[in-house]
Amino acid sequence: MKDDAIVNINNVGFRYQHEPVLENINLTIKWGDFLGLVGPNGSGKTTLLKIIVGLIKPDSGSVELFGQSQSRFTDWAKIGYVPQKAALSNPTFPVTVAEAVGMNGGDPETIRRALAGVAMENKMTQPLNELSGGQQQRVFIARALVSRPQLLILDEPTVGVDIDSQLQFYRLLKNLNQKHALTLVLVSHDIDVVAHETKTVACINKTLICHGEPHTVLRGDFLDQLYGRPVRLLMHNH
Amino acid sequence: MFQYGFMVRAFAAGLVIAVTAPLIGSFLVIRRFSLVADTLSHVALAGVAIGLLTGTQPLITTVILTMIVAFLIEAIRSRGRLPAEAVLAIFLPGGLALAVVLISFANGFNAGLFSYLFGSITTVQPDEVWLILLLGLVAVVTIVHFYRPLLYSSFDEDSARASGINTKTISLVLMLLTAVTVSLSMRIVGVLLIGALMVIPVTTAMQVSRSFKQGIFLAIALALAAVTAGLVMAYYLNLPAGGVIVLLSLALFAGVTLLKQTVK
Ligand SMILES: Nc1ncnc2c1ncn2[C@@H]1O[C@H](COP(=O)(O)OP(=O)(O)O)[C@@H](O)[C@H]1O
Ligand SMILES: [Mg+2]
Repeated sequence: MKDDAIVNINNVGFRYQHEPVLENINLTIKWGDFLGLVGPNGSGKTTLLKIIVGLIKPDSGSVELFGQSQSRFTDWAKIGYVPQKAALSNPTFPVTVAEAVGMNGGDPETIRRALAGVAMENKMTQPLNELSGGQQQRVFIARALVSRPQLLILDEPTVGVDIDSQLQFYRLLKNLNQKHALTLVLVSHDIDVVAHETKTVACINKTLICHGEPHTVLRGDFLDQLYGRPVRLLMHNH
Repeated sequence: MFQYGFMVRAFAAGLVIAVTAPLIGSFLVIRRFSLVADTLSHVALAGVAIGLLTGTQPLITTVILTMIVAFLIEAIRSRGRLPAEAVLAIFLPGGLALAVVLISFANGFNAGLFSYLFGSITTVQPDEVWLILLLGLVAVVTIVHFYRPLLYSSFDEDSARASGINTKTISLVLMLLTAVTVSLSMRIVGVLLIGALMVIPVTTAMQVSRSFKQGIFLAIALALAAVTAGLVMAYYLNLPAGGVIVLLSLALFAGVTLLKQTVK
């Protein structure tokens, strides 16, 4: 393994039923990276994240976390995971913001600080289901942060969040990445945003199609291959 | 009424039930799995029949049988091949059918068994009361001990598992505690009505509470009110305790629901 790798995915393949969902994925995520994982719906992004965090086992290949084989890895507090649609599967569940964050451990002071980190400390006692989708996402990030992870994995965190909140959200992520040296992996199907906000991009559609800095990989030919149709990327700058 | 030993025992058992039933029920309701209580209570009836047939303390045979079935339900459900509902729909009539067949061996329906169906205040024996207190204590201590992982895995199973929580073990613990609670409740509330006591106070409390903890405490308070008033009414008006307790819980539910509508 390369010693600047936080996650090392070797030749991973996976199928739920008969059709392979992932094939021959080789991907290294480096310390301090902010990786955007893009691909069309159903391309296997969520599945790959679930494999990384150990929710499902690959049918072939192997995963190394922090230089350790995944089967021997136990220090899950080092990895924060915010699943897709973390937003309340059960909206009648009465739970406050502080309770939601505290599910992942932490004393009241740690919880307060984690919430302060996402600018939500004034909402501690508010019921979670009274918050907007974007605010809930930030609470779930705070929950992932209470265990002081070194790697934070977010699956489509901005779906259903308005554009202003999204920009604010990416500013928060950049801050976590730069000032707190947190390695980030972010799944999005919005390539345009990912191209502007992340340090590196990986595109998957069953196989890994490209991996590298946004401006080098998000070229037309890769995108055509990724989406199976011509895609125009608007490379405007904010 | 406390000059009678049986009433003291009925209150002791009733208070244990009022604490444990909504405590366990809260986690079942938020997991949308509250029907498991009804399923296990039908299995409990078979447990009682085994106890009566073999001359063993029915509470003991019931705890063992319901825990075995709870384990089976969880094992089948967690494989994910069958919908959870279908698993319950298999075990519920299964428990009842076994009970009916076993009862026929005991020469028909006897009065002792009838009291287990709908609950009775006069039948709690001294040795049972200690067993109920012990089981209730075990249930409460276990929930307190597993509170955080239980809450996390009920709320968001994937995140909980990714954070290193063994969510399978946690689900199993909850199932086994449900079996314990159903068993210890059947004397007073009756097997056919326990499910109601595990669900109604919880759904009542959830309408008005802002946090999960507040919801649990309010549900316990509501259950304590219903059980206490229910036992008193059962004693003075000579009514079946389980029925009165459930009707009072429903009245509280209706009251809170109406109050919430009018305040809004
Ligand atoms: N639990 C599952 N069982 C069967 N197939 C699944 C399951 N989850 C996802 N899939 C299938 O696997 C493929 C990849 O899904 P997913 O990883 O969720 O894609 P993405 O996150 O990129 O949209 C899709 O075709 C999807 O239908
Ligand atoms: Mg997905």
